[in-house]
Amino acid sequence: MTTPTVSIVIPTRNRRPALQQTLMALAHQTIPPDELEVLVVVDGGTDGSADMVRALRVPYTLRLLEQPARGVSYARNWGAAEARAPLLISFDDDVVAVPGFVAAHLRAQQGPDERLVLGPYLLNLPGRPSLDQIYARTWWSDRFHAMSRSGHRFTFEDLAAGNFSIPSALYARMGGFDTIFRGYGVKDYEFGVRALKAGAQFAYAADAVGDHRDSQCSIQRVLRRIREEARNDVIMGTLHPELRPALKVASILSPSQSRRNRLLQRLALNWPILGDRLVMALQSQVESYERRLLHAYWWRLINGIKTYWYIRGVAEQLGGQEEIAAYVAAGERAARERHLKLGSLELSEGLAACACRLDQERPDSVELRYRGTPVGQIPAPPGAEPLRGAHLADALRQWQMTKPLALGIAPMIHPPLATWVTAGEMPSSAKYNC
Amino acid sequence: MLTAVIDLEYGALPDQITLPERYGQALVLIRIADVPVGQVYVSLLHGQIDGTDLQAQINQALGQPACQRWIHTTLGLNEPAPRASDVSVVVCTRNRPDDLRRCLESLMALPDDGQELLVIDSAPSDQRTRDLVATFPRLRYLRADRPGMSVARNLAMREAHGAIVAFTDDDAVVDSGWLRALARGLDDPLVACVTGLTMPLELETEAQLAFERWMSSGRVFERREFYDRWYDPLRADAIGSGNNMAIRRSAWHEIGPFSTAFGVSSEVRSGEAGLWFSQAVTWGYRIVYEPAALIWHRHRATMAELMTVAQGYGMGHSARTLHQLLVWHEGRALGSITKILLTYALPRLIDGLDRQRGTLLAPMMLAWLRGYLEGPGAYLAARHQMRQQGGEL
Repeated sequence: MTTPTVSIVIPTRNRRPALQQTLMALAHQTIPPDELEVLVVVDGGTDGSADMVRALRVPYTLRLLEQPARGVSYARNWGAAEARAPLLISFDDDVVAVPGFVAAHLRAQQGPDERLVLGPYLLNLPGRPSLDQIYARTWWSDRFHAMSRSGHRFTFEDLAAGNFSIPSALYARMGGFDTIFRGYGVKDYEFGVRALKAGAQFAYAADAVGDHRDSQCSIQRVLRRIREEARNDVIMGTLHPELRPALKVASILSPSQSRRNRLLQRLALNWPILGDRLVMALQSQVESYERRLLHAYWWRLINGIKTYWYIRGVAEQLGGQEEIAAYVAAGERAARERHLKLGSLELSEGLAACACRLDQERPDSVELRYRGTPVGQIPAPPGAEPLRGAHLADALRQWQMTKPLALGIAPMIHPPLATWVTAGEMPSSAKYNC
Repeated sequence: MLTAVIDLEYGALPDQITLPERYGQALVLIRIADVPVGQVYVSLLHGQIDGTDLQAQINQALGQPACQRWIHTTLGLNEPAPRASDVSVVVCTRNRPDDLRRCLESLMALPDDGQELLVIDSAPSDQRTRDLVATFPRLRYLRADRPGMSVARNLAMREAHGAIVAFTDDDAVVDSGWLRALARGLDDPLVACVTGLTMPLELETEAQLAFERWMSSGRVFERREFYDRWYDPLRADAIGSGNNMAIRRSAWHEIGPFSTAFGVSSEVRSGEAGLWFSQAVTWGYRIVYEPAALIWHRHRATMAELMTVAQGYGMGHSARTLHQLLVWHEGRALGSITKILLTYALPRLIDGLDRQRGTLLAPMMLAWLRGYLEGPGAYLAARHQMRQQGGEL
């Protein structure tokens, strides 16, 4: 048996029909089938998925691993440990790969650096999508659209376990996914944090498309999972304290929260029994809002409910208000004490020269100057990759940069600028409500 | 007062502007590196204004969009819009070959990115449009047998070959950067439609000036993105208009066709684009307003035409509300009626009573109100007719 080029690891539990579709689609890849190995890790389950895999005839090497239910991260790690190829693709059981999928990952992996290549999922929505399907499509589409820009600065939150490729050696060195996380979410992000710390260069392959066929993204399920996500967020912040300011936990107690959110916070922290009843009652309103096309109310309601359950999840892990505040404060300290590589750019030297310097130095944050005068800073958000030259133009185009740049540059090049910048209020966001 | 319309690049303002003496003022569109960033009315003395004065008045008028554009230009951050590949450009026309010729000439002057050019001749009463189209190279001609703007637009959406379909009207002239700016707005896969900036082609009559005053109140020079969450379907007018938009065809198939009850030459004489915009955002898509996508529109020149247009707009508003109630069961539609009358119609009527601001605003708003009252009847008649003869609601 020859060594395959690529090993695809698919953890699964009780999703036989979807899994079968996923495996069949991998039979039509453009790369020769003997270069492809697929490892299905059945994580518990009772629907005969393993028998289906055993009976399936496919041109590529299909290997089956069975474990008693131990969790998806354990399954992914076991699959990766058994894989024989130098390149791994972490995949999901309900995604249908386009024929060029594996080839696209291979192409994007070529380069001198160790890469982690992310591919998109496409959500195919039925004729008339429901609000939760729209919600899911928007969330995924925005994510991948952002990554498709060459100026995108990758962060740990860009990692989604269902479609990325990574050199097997790097995966092994990192120790795979952390199995401490139970339930939904965050384990992907935590993997992303360690991948960035290990020096992996993130990249995006727009043509490594997986069609997400399973569109049972019901909002009720989202709401159930939010508590698990909150608990996992706290664990993540415990493992990597410097990331706490980037997690939702950090904003719970923020004084800038709306009055409604402060009320929800008080309910969740002080009167959880009352709060749970109230929120359950509100939850039953969700569908009626959707039926009446009251989108705005629907959104407000969903966001409120999510905020509530999130705070409940955090409280279960940490305790009361004081403990949460201490947890966040310690995180802010850790973020400040990060060892950051700082740089400085002279914008009047031209964009190309500045970008070139960024590529050479790869700083985390840079101070911007124009003819010697400081005009702003590109910050280092926790868990973001170091700056590359490609980031510069997008960072300068951010609306937050316009005002400091204008006020800094105007006296030197064009005095009316200073009045233009103050003529109207700066938009508080790039998006408008109407 | 006769008003000249001029188009100036901020970095190359002239030392002196001299226009025919009949013009008392000029509407100046200001661009920085080709992109419109603001407008200003300047008074002319004997048709003239000198450079310093002009510069001062422009500096006074410009604001945040100009600031941003200036900085981006200075730092080399402007990204030229990429080629508009896989695009069809559509003009829907009806018995107006003189206007159409000017429009087609401007389309011919667009950079050639391989775009398809399509003229939809909407239930013509003669051969003139067909003959005119034949004199241009590369133009595809299609005839819609039934009248109605929505019928024509739906035909175009089905027949066009491009993944993106851009629309303009026969009474407009497009800027050379128009098509690429529209196409660039569709870069985000969730954007179903991009609309652009509409400026007056000429302000030679009182009617044109009145229309311009009416339309320009909401004109902005910064990119905007309209999306579902807090979207109020009744303010579709703020998004843009059907004479300057580009639609992603795949999204159109999901969202649905333009309602043939709405639009010029139908029962409800306007509102087809606005209704479609509301539908698009309801389906989770976004609409982008992109001021770099510039067209010059020849406003109706006579009072009679102006009143018809204003009345049609009124009809579109109330009919759309009724449609939202009857077809979408939109609970907030009723509340919007009071809102629109109190915050839109009433202030303009009061404004119109002020003689100095222009005497035409009051009669226009009365025509609009008349249309607003007639809208529901027209809409119901259209529905009735469609039930018998077919059509796309």
